[in-house]
Amino acid sequence: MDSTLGLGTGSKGLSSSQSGASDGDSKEGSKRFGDAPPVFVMPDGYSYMHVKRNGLIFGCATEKNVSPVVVIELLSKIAKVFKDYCGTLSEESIRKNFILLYELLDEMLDYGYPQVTQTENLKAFVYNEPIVVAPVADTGKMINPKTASASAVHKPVISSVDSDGRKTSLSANQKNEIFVDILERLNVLFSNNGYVLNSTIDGCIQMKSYLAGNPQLRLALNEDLIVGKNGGSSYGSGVTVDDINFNDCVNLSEWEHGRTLSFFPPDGEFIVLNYRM
Amino acid sequence: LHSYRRRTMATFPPNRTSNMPVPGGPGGAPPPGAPPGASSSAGRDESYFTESRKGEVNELRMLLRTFATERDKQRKRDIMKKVIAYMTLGIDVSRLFTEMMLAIETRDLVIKKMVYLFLCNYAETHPDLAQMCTNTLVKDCGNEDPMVRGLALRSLCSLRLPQMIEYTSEPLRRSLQDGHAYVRKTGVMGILKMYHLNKEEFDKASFNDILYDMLRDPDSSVVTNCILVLNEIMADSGGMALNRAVMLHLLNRIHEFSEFGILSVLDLVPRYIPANDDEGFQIMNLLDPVLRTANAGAVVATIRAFLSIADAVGKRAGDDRDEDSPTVDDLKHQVVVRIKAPLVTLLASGSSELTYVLLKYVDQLIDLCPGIFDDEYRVFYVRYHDQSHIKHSKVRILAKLANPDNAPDIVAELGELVANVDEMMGRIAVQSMASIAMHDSGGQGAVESIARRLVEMLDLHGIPHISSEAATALASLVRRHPSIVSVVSAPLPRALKYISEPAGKASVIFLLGECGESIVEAPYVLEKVIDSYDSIADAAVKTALLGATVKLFFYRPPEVKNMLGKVLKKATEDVSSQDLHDRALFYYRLLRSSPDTNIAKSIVTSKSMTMSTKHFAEEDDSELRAALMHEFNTLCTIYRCKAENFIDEENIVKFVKVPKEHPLPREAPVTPVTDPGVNTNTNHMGGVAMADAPQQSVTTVPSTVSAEVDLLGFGDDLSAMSVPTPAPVGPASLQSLSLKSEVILNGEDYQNKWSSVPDAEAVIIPALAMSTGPTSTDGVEEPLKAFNVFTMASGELSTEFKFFLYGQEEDAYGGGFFLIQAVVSKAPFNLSLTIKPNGGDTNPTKRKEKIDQLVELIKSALGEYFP
Repeated sequence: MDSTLGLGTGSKGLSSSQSGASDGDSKEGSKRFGDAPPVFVMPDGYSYMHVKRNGLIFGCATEKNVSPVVVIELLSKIAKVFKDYCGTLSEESIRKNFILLYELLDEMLDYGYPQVTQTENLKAFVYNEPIVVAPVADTGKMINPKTASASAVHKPVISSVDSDGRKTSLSANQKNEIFVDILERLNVLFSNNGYVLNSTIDGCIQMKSYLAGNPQLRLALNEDLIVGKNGGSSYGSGVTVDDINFNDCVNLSEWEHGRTLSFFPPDGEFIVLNYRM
Repeated sequence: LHSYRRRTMATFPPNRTSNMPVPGGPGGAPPPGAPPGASSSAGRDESYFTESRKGEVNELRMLLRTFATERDKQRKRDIMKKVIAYMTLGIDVSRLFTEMMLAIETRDLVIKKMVYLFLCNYAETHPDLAQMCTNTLVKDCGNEDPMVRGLALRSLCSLRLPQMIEYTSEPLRRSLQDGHAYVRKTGVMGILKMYHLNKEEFDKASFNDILYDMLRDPDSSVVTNCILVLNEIMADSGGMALNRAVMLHLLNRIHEFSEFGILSVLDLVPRYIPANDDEGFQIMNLLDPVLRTANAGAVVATIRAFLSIADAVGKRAGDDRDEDSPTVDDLKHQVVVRIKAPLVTLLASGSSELTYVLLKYVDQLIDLCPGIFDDEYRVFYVRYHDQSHIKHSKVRILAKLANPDNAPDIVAELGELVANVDEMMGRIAVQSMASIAMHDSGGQGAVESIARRLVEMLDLHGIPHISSEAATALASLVRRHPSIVSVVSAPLPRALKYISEPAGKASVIFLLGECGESIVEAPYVLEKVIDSYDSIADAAVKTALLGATVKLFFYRPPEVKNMLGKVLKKATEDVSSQDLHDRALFYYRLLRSSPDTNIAKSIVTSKSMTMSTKHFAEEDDSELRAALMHEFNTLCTIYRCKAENFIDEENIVKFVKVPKEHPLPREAPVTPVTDPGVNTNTNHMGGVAMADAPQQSVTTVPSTVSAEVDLLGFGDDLSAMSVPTPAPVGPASLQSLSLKSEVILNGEDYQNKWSSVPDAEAVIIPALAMSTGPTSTDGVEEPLKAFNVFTMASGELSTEFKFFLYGQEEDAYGGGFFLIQAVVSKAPFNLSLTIKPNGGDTNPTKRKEKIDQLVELIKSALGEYFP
């Protein structure tokens, strides 16, 4: 492979492999040394970086002094785009859609440099249709039958052919729908005498859009939402989050006054905002 | 197996495709021996990645021969897919090259893409065959569909055939003027590929100037690629040439860039020195909204930009600036305070990989500005499902966050981690705890409480690595805080019995020597060790034993005298370790020759081992840390070592700031950096979408730079030039520029002089429109010679004339050289100049004035060609 690439071997160097295939030896190894860190350098002078998604490893190699954060973000982005286009991310969906993925990689990276990386912008360049693979496991019963989690749908963002080869047209039987998930991870640490040592919430609002024509959406949050610890001196009056960050597509012009976000939802899955409290 | 496969084929005729079993279901390839789902048919459902045997490639060849007659588009695609599938598996299908190339003429883009993929993959090994398809590729570069143009161009440049350069440069040049942004950005990347393929050809083509010009492209993705390509081509001089006009132009457009494109601009900022303090702060305000985005790459790039601006505008010691202007350290402190919240949010919300990387960044920022992250210490508590490398990083960071308020919490948390199943983790927890005590960061009483905890750990027989680690920690601690001897001494004799790790054992023996006065049984436990001297393998343990025995001797001579004799004899006879041997001899001679035992005693039992600073000498890494801050946001941050230690020399990109001589003096009025409101609904990739490049005008250009921004010639030059000057200006009328009529300069000197002037100092005058052009190189050389501008070399290419010109000032005027590279392009006729001053006036304004006059001089000399 060309050794002069900005990001190592770039697209063709991207490999996916099943992580579950570790044999006895490597288990022994991982017990002693832990898992391989996402960024490491080998004596050959190459740095290897990888992210793990759904049991698949997306990796790349470089011999330049790149920004590791950017590479990790890029690999995550590639995994996300694959998922958006294939519907599910699994070994089988990658095997079945390899031509589509070649095409995506070619447009996302040129000579190791990221080019078009957003799902909806890539649509203009992609001509293959995904072959839908049935999801491996059922997502389980929903607590509230009227709602469905975004993880319950495994639709690709572009029209696809099903495994029988019949083409399912996106426009004809496409439901105009958008999924809004609020995901919160509660971290609570108790000591052995029941005393709470530490508790935090990491949350995000995640959306998955299948809306035709990208209409503008507005998302109104509690008007009494306070960002930053210092802002909320009067406790109890509102919701206080320590910090919050937004997706690139979000327009913040009404944020300061009305706590309202407006945005044109990009296709596929995306995180509107992350917060921490 | 072969016959079995035949049977399978019989069972599943090629045209029956539905209800086929899906081989290699979720999670793996089919078990060996299972019927391969992929028969040789073009059936469409089967997996493309089943085992293959010899002969399959031949079958593919047969299929490809039917390709031309095949009518069904889907079946055509399936044939191609099979070939690509084999290629992906690593099977050499290059034998099918000829057949594949027959399929290149197709309207189906899916098939076209696959053929191009095949071509790029095998062109390097089959250059002759690949050359045959060049015509098709070149033709496709002129296709009416911009997608096809871009695709063909990208493939053409990716063939990696040096002999193809002559075919590529023409389409490449055309693509840069394409109406569609997709083609332009592909073309820009193509330039880089050409550069790596053949540097000489590349130099001839002089793409650099075009690239600088294209920084003004209305489409941000084209601009991004220009920056990336220029940075890589000019890596030797630290990246693309940068000046105020370019920097402000890019910063004012920063909201147009895509999430990865924005990085190319942000990465330029650290190399730019703001013209004055106000401009520095304006840039910071402009970039501030980037910190609110969820793009970690952009956030850390912004952090680096902020820190570098702080470096440039902050007050330093010995600076003559105002009393109240903030110092560099103050500013950096403020920067870290500002970026704390966004960074912690990314840390908490990101994937585990991102968390790991960001932890390393935080670690470095804590070193830079200790204390700021202290109140967020709970974020760094280890979580159950964290991966081990993340846990390790967190525990190391926790030790750095300790202050008198949170130290009890942190120490308690570390205490919980000691008994972790992960051995490494336990060790790091002990080390972190010890480090809090060593640095005295835990406030009153913390040292003693930590020492007590460590002493308890000495007794954890079940976990040998922890008791050993605790012993090592205590040995260091005693040297830093001699007062804790009373806490430590009691359990030492029993600890010696069950600590097996050499490092731990050596530490316990060392401690026994240090605390010998207060431990009654010390001589007796040591005696047992001395008796088993021959079974000790580790030199460190033996050395510690020798040292401890000598020390103990001076405290309690009668009990130790015999032991000392024994250990000295053993150690002087021991040849396994030079150090040990020499040490033993030293002690022996000291004791024998010393006339007064008190002298020997004062030497051996002196408190010189006690340290008063917070660091051991080998722990002081301030130099390394300063070097790492220079390379913040690179792999160095992760590995904690300098780039030259792990990056090949040829791949190291020097970090070069823009030259100190700034185009603007410090007092000059600042043009506002307008805040276009980053993050206000940016339809980022709009430009790359299918529509042709929007003709949006850049309205936010700073006002000192005229609307017709010439990004590399400074604004003033241009305005000076647009003033109509009285027609032919003779040399006599030039006041400050006078050229010698005879100059001696040979080609090599010319080369040296040219390359000694950095490109950033070159003045580039692009594309002066001409009404007519010269018919030969003489048409330019002769008139210039009359004005004392001489020609070093010249040449005619199909599209342009090129001249390498020079002139030298009269000695009375400074005697400096001017080196000029002139390009007269033929259609349409225009003249571009690149001027490099060498020697002569060092005053930038004077120099600029002279160059202005030189340009006028050249223009008037060639007056016949100008309107």
